Amino acid sequence: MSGPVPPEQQEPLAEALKTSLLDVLETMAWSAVKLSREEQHSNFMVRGEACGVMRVHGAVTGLIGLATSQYTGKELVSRIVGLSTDMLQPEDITDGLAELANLIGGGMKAKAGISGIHLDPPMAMVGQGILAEWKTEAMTRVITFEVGRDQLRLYANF
Amino acid sequence: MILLTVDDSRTIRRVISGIGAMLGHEVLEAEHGNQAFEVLEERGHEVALILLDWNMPGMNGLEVLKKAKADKRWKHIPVMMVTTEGERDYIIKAVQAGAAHYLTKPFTQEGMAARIMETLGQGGTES
Repeated sequence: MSGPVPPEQQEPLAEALKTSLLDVLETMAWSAVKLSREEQHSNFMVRGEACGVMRVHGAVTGLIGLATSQYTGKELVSRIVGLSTDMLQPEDITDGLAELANLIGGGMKAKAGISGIHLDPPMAMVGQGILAEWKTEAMTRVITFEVGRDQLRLYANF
Repeated sequence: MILLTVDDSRTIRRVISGIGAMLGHEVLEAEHGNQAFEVLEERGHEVALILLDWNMPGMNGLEVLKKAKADKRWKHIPVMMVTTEGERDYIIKAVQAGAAHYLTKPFTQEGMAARIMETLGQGGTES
Protein backbone atom coordinates (compact mmCIF):
# COMPACT_ATOMS: atom_id res chain seq x y z
CA MET A 1 0.00 0.00 0.00
CA SER A 2 2.77 2.45 0.72
CA GLY A 3 5.87 3.31 -1.23
CA PRO A 4 9.20 4.46 0.04
CA VAL A 5 9.47 8.08 1.01
CA PRO A 6 13.03 9.38 1.36
CA PRO A 7 13.95 9.74 5.05
CA GLU A 8 14.59 13.46 4.58
CA GLN A 9 10.93 13.89 3.56
CA GLN A 10 9.41 11.84 6.38
CA GLU A 11 9.81 14.42 9.10
CA PRO A 12 8.68 17.47 7.07
CA LEU A 13 5.61 15.52 5.93
CA ALA A 14 4.71 14.45 9.47
CA GLU A 15 5.22 18.01 10.73
CA ALA A 16 3.07 19.37 7.90
CA LEU A 17 0.36 16.87 8.76
CA LYS A 18 0.38 17.78 12.47
CA THR A 19 0.33 21.50 11.74
CA SER A 20 -2.47 21.00 9.25
CA LEU A 21 -4.62 19.13 11.77
CA LEU A 22 -4.16 21.86 14.38
CA ASP A 23 -4.90 24.51 11.77
CA VAL A 24 -8.04 22.80 10.47
CA LEU A 25 -9.54 22.05 13.88
CA GLU A 26 -8.82 25.52 15.21
CA THR A 27 -10.09 27.26 12.07
CA MET A 28 -13.14 25.19 11.14
CA ALA A 29 -14.14 23.44 14.37
CA TRP A 30 -12.99 26.00 16.97
CA SER A 31 -11.41 23.22 18.94
CA ALA A 32 -8.33 23.66 21.07
CA VAL A 33 -6.17 20.64 20.41
CA LYS A 34 -2.98 19.58 22.15
CA LEU A 35 -0.32 17.17 20.95
CA SER A 36 -0.12 14.30 23.41
CA ARG A 37 2.23 11.57 22.11
CA GLU A 38 3.63 9.87 19.05
CA GLU A 39 4.14 6.15 18.41
CA GLN A 40 4.96 3.76 15.57
CA HIS A 41 2.64 0.88 14.71
CA SER A 42 2.74 -1.83 12.09
CA ASN A 43 -0.85 -1.27 11.06
CA PHE A 44 -3.73 1.17 11.25
CA MET A 45 -6.68 -0.14 13.21
CA VAL A 46 -9.99 1.45 14.13
CA ARG A 47 -12.32 -0.23 16.62
CA GLY A 48 -15.85 1.11 17.15
CA GLU A 49 -14.80 4.67 16.46
CA ALA A 50 -15.40 7.42 13.93
CA CYS A 51 -12.70 7.69 11.30
CA GLY A 52 -11.77 9.37 8.05
CA VAL A 53 -9.12 8.00 5.70
CA MET A 54 -7.55 9.03 2.42
CA ARG A 55 -4.93 7.62 0.09
CA VAL A 56 -1.96 9.72 -0.95
CA HIS A 57 -0.20 9.11 -4.26
CA GLY A 58 2.11 10.79 -6.73
CA ALA A 59 5.31 12.18 -5.24
CA VAL A 60 4.37 10.54 -1.93
CA THR A 61 2.49 7.25 -1.64
CA GLY A 62 0.64 6.15 1.45
CA LEU A 63 -2.34 6.66 3.66
CA ILE A 64 -3.45 9.28 6.14
CA GLY A 65 -6.31 8.96 8.55
CA LEU A 66 -7.88 10.24 11.70
CA ALA A 67 -9.90 8.43 14.35
CA THR A 68 -11.71 9.54 17.44
CA SER A 69 -14.65 8.53 19.59
CA GLN A 70 -18.08 8.77 18.03
CA TYR A 71 -18.94 11.45 20.59
CA THR A 72 -16.01 13.68 19.60
CA GLY A 73 -16.50 12.98 15.89
CA LYS A 74 -20.08 14.18 16.16
CA GLU A 75 -19.05 17.18 18.25
CA LEU A 76 -16.41 18.27 15.73
CA VAL A 77 -18.81 17.99 12.80
CA SER A 78 -21.46 19.86 14.79
CA ARG A 79 -19.05 22.75 15.32
CA ILE A 80 -17.98 22.81 11.68
CA VAL A 81 -21.51 22.98 10.25
CA GLY A 82 -22.94 25.07 13.09
CA LEU A 83 -25.76 22.65 13.96
CA SER A 84 -26.44 20.96 17.29
CA THR A 85 -25.39 17.30 17.50
CA ASP A 86 -29.00 16.10 17.74
CA MET A 87 -29.74 17.68 14.35
CA LEU A 88 -27.03 15.67 12.61
CA GLN A 89 -27.86 12.53 10.65
CA PRO A 90 -25.36 9.63 10.46
CA GLU A 91 -24.47 10.65 6.88
CA ASP A 92 -23.66 14.15 8.14
CA ILE A 93 -21.09 12.65 10.50
CA THR A 94 -19.43 10.49 7.84
CA ASP A 95 -19.36 13.35 5.34
CA GLY A 96 -17.95 15.69 7.98
CA LEU A 97 -15.19 13.26 8.96
CA ALA A 98 -14.34 12.59 5.33
CA GLU A 99 -14.12 16.33 4.76
CA LEU A 100 -11.93 16.73 7.85
CA ALA A 101 -9.53 14.14 6.39
CA ASN A 102 -9.65 16.00 3.07
CA LEU A 103 -8.91 19.35 4.71
CA ILE A 104 -6.06 17.92 6.77
CA GLY A 105 -4.56 16.16 3.74
CA GLY A 106 -4.91 19.30 1.62
CA GLY A 107 -3.23 21.33 4.34
CA MET A 108 -0.39 18.83 4.53
CA LYS A 109 0.17 19.17 0.77
CA ALA A 110 0.34 22.93 1.01
CA LYS A 111 2.59 22.99 4.07
CA ALA A 112 4.98 20.19 3.05
CA GLY A 113 6.22 22.14 0.04
CA ILE A 114 6.54 18.96 -2.06
CA SER A 115 4.94 19.30 -5.48
CA GLY A 116 3.10 16.47 -7.18
CA ILE A 117 1.31 15.03 -4.14
CA HIS A 118 -2.20 13.86 -5.04
CA LEU A 119 -5.01 12.93 -2.69
CA ASP A 120 -7.78 10.46 -3.49
CA PRO A 121 -11.33 11.26 -2.38
CA PRO A 122 -11.64 10.53 1.35
CA MET A 123 -13.75 7.84 2.95
CA ALA A 124 -15.24 7.75 6.45
CA MET A 125 -16.73 5.15 8.78
CA VAL A 126 -18.69 5.51 11.98
CA GLY A 127 -20.14 2.66 13.98
CA GLN A 128 -20.19 0.80 17.28
CA GLY A 129 -19.35 -2.58 15.81
CA ILE A 130 -16.73 -1.53 13.28
CA LEU A 131 -13.34 -3.14 13.34
CA ALA A 132 -11.23 -1.97 10.41
CA GLU A 133 -7.60 -2.61 9.72
CA TRP A 134 -5.35 -1.31 6.96
CA LYS A 135 -2.23 -3.36 6.32
CA THR A 136 0.72 -1.16 5.55
CA GLU A 137 4.22 -1.92 4.29
CA ALA A 138 5.90 0.94 6.10
CA MET A 139 5.44 1.62 9.80
CA THR A 140 2.53 3.88 10.61
CA ARG A 141 3.14 6.96 12.71
CA VAL A 142 0.28 7.35 15.18
CA ILE A 143 0.07 10.87 16.58
CA THR A 144 -2.34 11.34 19.47
CA PHE A 145 -3.90 14.70 20.30
CA GLU A 146 -6.03 15.71 23.24
CA VAL A 147 -9.37 17.23 22.23
CA GLY A 148 -11.20 18.35 25.35
CA ARG A 149 -11.29 15.27 27.58
CA ASP A 150 -11.04 12.94 24.63
CA GLN A 151 -8.37 11.89 22.17
CA LEU A 152 -8.00 12.07 18.43
CA ARG A 153 -5.43 9.94 16.62
CA LEU A 154 -3.79 10.94 13.38
CA TYR A 155 -2.30 8.14 11.25
CA ALA A 156 0.50 8.87 8.83
CA ASN A 157 1.72 6.04 6.67
CA PHE A 158 4.15 7.06 3.94
CA MET B 1 -28.67 37.95 -3.88
CA ILE B 2 -28.40 34.34 -4.86
CA LEU B 3 -25.19 32.33 -4.55
CA LEU B 4 -24.44 28.85 -5.88
CA THR B 5 -22.10 26.55 -3.97
CA VAL B 6 -20.73 23.57 -5.90
CA ASP B 7 -18.98 21.05 -3.66
CA ASP B 8 -19.24 17.29 -3.26
CA SER B 9 -19.02 17.67 0.51
CA ARG B 10 -22.38 18.42 2.11
CA THR B 11 -20.42 19.67 5.12
CA ILE B 12 -18.79 22.42 3.09
CA ARG B 13 -22.06 23.23 1.30
CA ARG B 14 -23.72 23.63 4.70
CA VAL B 15 -20.93 25.85 6.01
CA ILE B 16 -21.10 28.08 2.92
CA SER B 17 -24.90 28.14 3.03
CA GLY B 18 -24.73 29.25 6.66
CA ILE B 19 -22.30 32.06 5.84
CA GLY B 20 -24.42 33.11 2.85
CA ALA B 21 -27.56 33.16 4.99
CA MET B 22 -25.74 35.19 7.64
CA LEU B 23 -25.00 37.76 4.92
CA GLY B 24 -28.65 37.74 3.85
CA HIS B 25 -28.21 35.74 0.64
CA GLU B 26 -30.05 32.70 -0.65
CA VAL B 27 -27.62 29.85 -1.37
CA LEU B 28 -28.34 27.17 -3.97
CA GLU B 29 -26.39 23.93 -3.74
CA ALA B 30 -24.94 21.48 -6.25
CA GLU B 31 -22.82 18.46 -5.41
CA HIS B 32 -21.04 18.15 -8.76
CA GLY B 33 -20.51 19.95 -12.03
CA ASN B 34 -23.44 18.46 -13.92
CA GLN B 35 -25.82 19.38 -11.13
CA ALA B 36 -24.37 22.90 -11.11
CA PHE B 37 -25.30 23.34 -14.78
CA GLU B 38 -28.80 22.00 -14.10
CA VAL B 39 -29.17 24.69 -11.43
CA LEU B 40 -27.77 27.32 -13.79
CA GLU B 41 -30.21 26.28 -16.53
CA GLU B 42 -33.08 26.87 -14.08
CA ARG B 43 -31.89 29.86 -12.09
CA GLY B 44 -28.64 31.01 -13.67
CA HIS B 45 -30.14 34.41 -14.48
CA GLU B 46 -30.48 35.04 -10.73
CA VAL B 47 -27.09 33.74 -9.56
CA ALA B 48 -24.70 36.50 -8.46
CA LEU B 49 -21.72 34.34 -7.43
CA ILE B 50 -20.55 30.75 -7.86
CA LEU B 51 -18.39 29.17 -5.12
CA LEU B 52 -16.64 26.24 -6.72
CA ASP B 53 -14.68 23.29 -5.33
CA TRP B 54 -11.84 21.82 -7.42
CA ASN B 55 -11.87 18.08 -6.69
CA MET B 56 -15.27 16.60 -7.43
CA PRO B 57 -16.57 13.46 -9.10
CA GLY B 58 -17.06 13.89 -12.85
CA MET B 59 -16.05 17.32 -14.07
CA ASN B 60 -13.47 18.96 -11.84
CA GLY B 61 -13.80 22.57 -10.75
CA LEU B 62 -11.52 23.90 -13.48
CA GLU B 63 -13.61 22.17 -16.14
CA VAL B 64 -16.80 23.59 -14.63
CA LEU B 65 -15.22 27.04 -14.56
CA LYS B 66 -14.15 26.84 -18.21
CA LYS B 67 -17.56 25.58 -19.31
CA ALA B 68 -19.36 28.35 -17.40
CA LYS B 69 -17.06 31.03 -18.83
CA ALA B 70 -17.59 29.68 -22.35
CA ASP B 71 -21.35 30.15 -22.12
CA LYS B 72 -22.59 33.67 -22.78
CA ARG B 73 -25.49 33.15 -20.35
CA TRP B 74 -23.18 32.62 -17.39
CA LYS B 75 -19.79 34.07 -18.29
CA HIS B 76 -20.57 37.28 -16.37
CA ILE B 77 -21.13 35.43 -13.07
CA PRO B 78 -18.03 35.76 -10.85
CA VAL B 79 -16.57 32.46 -9.71
CA MET B 80 -14.67 31.95 -6.47
CA MET B 81 -12.66 28.75 -6.23
CA VAL B 82 -12.92 27.23 -2.73
CA THR B 83 -10.53 24.32 -2.51
CA THR B 84 -7.83 22.49 -0.58
CA GLU B 85 -5.60 22.79 -3.68
CA GLY B 86 -3.30 25.64 -2.72
CA GLU B 87 -0.42 25.09 -5.13
CA ARG B 88 0.61 27.99 -7.34
CA ASP B 89 -0.06 26.04 -10.55
CA TYR B 90 -3.68 25.47 -9.57
CA ILE B 91 -4.21 29.13 -8.71
CA ILE B 92 -2.69 30.29 -11.99
CA LYS B 93 -4.82 27.88 -14.02
CA ALA B 94 -7.99 29.02 -12.24
CA VAL B 95 -7.23 32.73 -12.67
CA GLN B 96 -6.34 32.20 -16.33
CA ALA B 97 -9.67 30.43 -16.80
CA GLY B 98 -11.51 33.41 -15.32
CA ALA B 99 -11.83 32.80 -11.58
CA ALA B 100 -12.45 36.05 -9.72
CA HIS B 101 -11.09 34.80 -6.40
CA TYR B 102 -9.30 31.78 -4.99
CA LEU B 103 -9.84 30.77 -1.37
CA THR B 104 -8.10 27.76 0.12
CA LYS B 105 -9.69 25.50 2.71
CA PRO B 106 -9.69 25.60 5.66
CA PHE B 107 -11.22 29.06 5.83
CA THR B 108 -12.67 31.08 8.67
CA GLN B 109 -16.28 32.24 8.54
CA GLU B 110 -15.04 35.81 8.62
CA GLY B 111 -12.58 35.22 5.78
CA MET B 112 -15.20 33.60 3.59
CA ALA B 113 -17.79 36.29 4.39
CA ALA B 114 -15.30 39.03 3.52
CA ARG B 115 -14.43 37.39 0.19
CA ILE B 116 -18.09 36.97 -0.72
CA MET B 117 -18.83 40.60 0.09
CA GLU B 118 -15.76 41.76 -1.81
CA THR B 119 -16.65 39.73 -4.89
CA LEU B 120 -20.22 41.01 -4.80
CA GLY B 121 -18.96 44.56 -4.51
CA GLN B 122 -20.29 44.99 -1.00
CA GLY B 123 -17.02 45.91 0.68
CA GLY B 124 -15.15 43.49 2.89
CA THR B 125 -11.45 43.06 3.27
CA GLU B 126 -8.84 40.53 2.34
CA SER B 127 -8.62 37.67 4.84
